Amino acid sequence: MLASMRLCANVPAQHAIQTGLGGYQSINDLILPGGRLLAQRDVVYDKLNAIPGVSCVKPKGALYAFPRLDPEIYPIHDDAQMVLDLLLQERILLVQGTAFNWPHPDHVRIVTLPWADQLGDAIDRFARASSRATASDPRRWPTTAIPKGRARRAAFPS
Amino acid sequence: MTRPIRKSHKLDNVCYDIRGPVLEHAKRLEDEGHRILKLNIGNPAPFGFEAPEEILQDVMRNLPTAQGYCDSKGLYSARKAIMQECQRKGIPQVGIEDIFIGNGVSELIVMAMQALLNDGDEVLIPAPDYPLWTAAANLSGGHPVHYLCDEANDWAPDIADIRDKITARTRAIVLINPNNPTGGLSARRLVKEILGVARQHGLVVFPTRSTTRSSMTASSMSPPEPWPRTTSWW
Repeated sequence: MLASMRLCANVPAQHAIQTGLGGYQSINDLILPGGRLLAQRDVVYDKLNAIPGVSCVKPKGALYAFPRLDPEIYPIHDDAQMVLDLLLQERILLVQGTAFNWPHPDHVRIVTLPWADQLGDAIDRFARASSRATASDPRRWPTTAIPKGRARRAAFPS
Repeated sequence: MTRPIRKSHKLDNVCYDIRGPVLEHAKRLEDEGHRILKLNIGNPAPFGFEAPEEILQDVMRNLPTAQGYCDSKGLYSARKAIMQECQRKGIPQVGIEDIFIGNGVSELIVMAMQALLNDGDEVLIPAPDYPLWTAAANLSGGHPVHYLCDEANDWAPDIADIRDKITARTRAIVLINPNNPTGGLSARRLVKEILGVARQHGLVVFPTRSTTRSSMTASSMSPPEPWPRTTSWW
């Protein structure tokens, strides 16, 4: 009934399904040794784990890495603000772990789609921001407050 | 005197922070001329991952005759291809009338939650999760109950935690494999164990796969193992 209520799914796109499932379509070239996705995953994994206080489980699928920032070193109380700091200071846009209903503000998600050199640059920026946070007063990271309520509506009329 | 137009209370607990306030700051910075390196959404096309030519050709050739509505379940040929894919993967008893095609997982998750949940029903969802599941469960009047994935164990779902959180109101278990956001991939043995728990308690299992048909292992890749029989497939 719910399917009927919206009449049907996008018809042109459905013509991609048969070949998508049955043809010689494969992402093997991307994920075998030498493949682009594998190389990108490896860059992110290696560089993240080289940052003091940051650890990342090696992703085995999908397009993401989900590193942990050790709360002893980075006592982050609001990870959305930490992500905002990264944006404002280093011009990289990540998503905070609590956006994925993770119960502690100690993770971020990084998409591993950009080319390896771009990803390497992004992780370098992430490392720079985190070293600043530890070198000064870690409690100063995050430093930027996200405007809430009326102030936010004024800043970002939707 | 005009009455203010407010959003519905149904949305009070619905949250989708991947496109939240930080993104608004990013837009502002871009409008001011800054270049932002966006690692926030898994959108392959801007990074040079394009659909294979053969698939584009299929869509282009069929475009002139694809202007009308089709069956609400989806095109027959597409559903047949899905049915055959199930046969190839050894998923038994999936007939063509069991298959519903939707506008991506975003539509299907909301549709499935709306169809299944009564007010107060519970859905077991991994933490961390792809947050649309939690948002859709809330929107549909249900309660998302998060079971933990264990970071020290390659982010595998904690089956003891799943068992602990099953109540009389639990209706379904969501599996995200490979997982978004962790990239974790559960072993076939573990998936079977979770299916066993679901069967024992009469729960629907929603298996979601993040994005790809294949998965990487530690040093290279292997195709994902076929899913055992589950209640729905997409």
